[in-house]
Amino acid sequence: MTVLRKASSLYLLVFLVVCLAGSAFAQEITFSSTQFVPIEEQEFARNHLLAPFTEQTGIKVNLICEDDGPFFDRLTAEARAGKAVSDVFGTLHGNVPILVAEGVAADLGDITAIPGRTYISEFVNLGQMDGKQVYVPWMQATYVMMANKKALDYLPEGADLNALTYEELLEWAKVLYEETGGPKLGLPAGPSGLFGRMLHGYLYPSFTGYQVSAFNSPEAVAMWEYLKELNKYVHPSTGIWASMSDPLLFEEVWLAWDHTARLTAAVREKPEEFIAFPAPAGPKGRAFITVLTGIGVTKGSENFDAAMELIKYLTSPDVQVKVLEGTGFFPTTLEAVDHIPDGPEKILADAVSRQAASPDAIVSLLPVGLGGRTGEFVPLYVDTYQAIVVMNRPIQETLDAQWALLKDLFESMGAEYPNP
Amino acid sequence: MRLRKVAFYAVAILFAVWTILPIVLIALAALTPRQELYSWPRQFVPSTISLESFQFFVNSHGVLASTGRSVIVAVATVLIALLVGAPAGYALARFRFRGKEAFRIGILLTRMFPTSLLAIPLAVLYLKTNIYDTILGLAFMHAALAMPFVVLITSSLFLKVPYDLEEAAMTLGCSRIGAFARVSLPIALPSLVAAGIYTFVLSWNEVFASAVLTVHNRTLPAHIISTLNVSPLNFKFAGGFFMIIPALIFIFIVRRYLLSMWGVAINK
Repeated sequence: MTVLRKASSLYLLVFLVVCLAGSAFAQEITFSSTQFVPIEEQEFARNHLLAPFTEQTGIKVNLICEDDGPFFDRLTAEARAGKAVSDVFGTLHGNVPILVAEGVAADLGDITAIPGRTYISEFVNLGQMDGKQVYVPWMQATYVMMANKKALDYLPEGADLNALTYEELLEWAKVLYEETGGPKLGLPAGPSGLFGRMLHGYLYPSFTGYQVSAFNSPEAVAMWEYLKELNKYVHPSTGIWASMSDPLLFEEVWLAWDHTARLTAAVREKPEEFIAFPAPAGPKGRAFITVLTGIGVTKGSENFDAAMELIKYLTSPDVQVKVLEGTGFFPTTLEAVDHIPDGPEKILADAVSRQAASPDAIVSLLPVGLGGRTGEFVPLYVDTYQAIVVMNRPIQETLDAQWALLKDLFESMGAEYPNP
Repeated sequence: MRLRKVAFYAVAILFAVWTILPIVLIALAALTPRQELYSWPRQFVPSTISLESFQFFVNSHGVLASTGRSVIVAVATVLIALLVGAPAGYALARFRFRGKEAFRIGILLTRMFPTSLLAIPLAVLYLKTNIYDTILGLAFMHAALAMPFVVLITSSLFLKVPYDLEEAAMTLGCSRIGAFARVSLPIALPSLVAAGIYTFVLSWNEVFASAVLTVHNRTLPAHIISTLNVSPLNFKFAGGFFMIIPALIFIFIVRRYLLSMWGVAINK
């Protein structure tokens, strides 16, 4: 019994110490983010971004990085209970409508008045919802292709790496398959992979000119036939991959498409082995997505001014350049765009700027206005891929059936189709 | 006869390998230098032992604190679950009362709804009652999750303790509570410990409630899932290895009691 007594008093003591330790700082804000989730990025953000901020301002920042699920659940619960534990939220543009619908986001006022930071105006407009400025453009990223330099020896004749077409990509993958004895092209089509973005934001607009409205058009049928053909040379593990860095490093594949942040680990590990290049072009042009993350303040936060301080700090030019070096996310202010640094990131930065600057560029925006059903958009494309390419169902019938669902999604939410 | 013995050992070895191999592999991978982990063909045994990934993980923000917190939450969960659950189990075993069967089934209700469904209402309730993001609050949640098992395990334990013994104690001058404390409890103690171990492991592994109900006071599994889910492979191995070490030590210490939960006696 004495053991139990000792154990319980020890427990009480530790409990008290932990409680006291939590309340030591004068001004403290909590920053909930679905970005900076990988452990190295978290350490980078804490030690190289937030620690200097605390030194400068005396405001301590508790960074909470988590997946979408717990992030939404917690912020929603806080809004419903009327107690804002989190002061600042940082997440993808596409996630913000859900937060706005739950009343999580506060109005930030006129952010173009913030001195020394010229936010890209298109992004500022995207951050306006329900007549309020709900976030400040924080970081941007895109998806590019990456190749092991060994694969360059097999590049089809006449093909320009920086102006590749989907036909040439198919030819390249085929040659690699035949010459090296196995599939060398990989796509992040696993459950937490981002392949769905390639379908709606890259392939569809490149082949049909539209992300949504030509979903079951003859051009779309041609695109799916192309994908079925391409799939013969795609690595069979594609269906489980979440990020292409590891398969590239393991040399399971030599050729991959993925989010810049999910390719950074590969170029960091072996910068001399990899080269990044723009996504291929289809009959209608070279479509690509620009991913935007926003950072805002929660409604009811008791530390609004401190939260705004943090937001201004995170979007200052030198911090934005630091973020690119640390995480592979690109700046959102004109001042910072001019200062892109050398290093492994340069490999990606070059591909990103070439992609953005290509003459046949089509910029795909993520859909807005789907509210609480935003999360249903991408799975419709991935399911279609499953049905047509993996299960070999008839193309036109599958497209017609999925088109009905897709159209219904936009109609029932009263949302417009995303550009283009 | 010999053939049976050979078959027996073959199966035993198969099970041992089945259990130990993943642990060995994860340990080796956690100690492999990062470069080598990505080289091809991969070596089964690394050329040098590297603690780099492991150290980076262990020293990264919040790992040690969340480990300590996990232990505290688990211990608190065991205390709460046993204090509330064991008397309920005793009552189920000893007394006849109206609605006993309904109670026995009803106790499983807390396991009927997936935690993900309850997440938002639970968090709202926790926020309103000011136990959100506290170690004690999380222990309540874990105790609630463990309760059905604790009640059902302890009720079957107390069923095995003969009521005659308690009656004998009472004829010799013990009160009802005295008979329970001096006779039934000591007999049931090893099995109660087993129920406690089960509760401890449940709390140690629980991730969903921990992720939603805490912000700053994360437990180890919640911390690991939020930091390693999309991290490079070497850190996943390091984190996985770090997570199993305490569990291995713990199981090694208490395995005697664990077996007694299924009524198997082993010699000391």
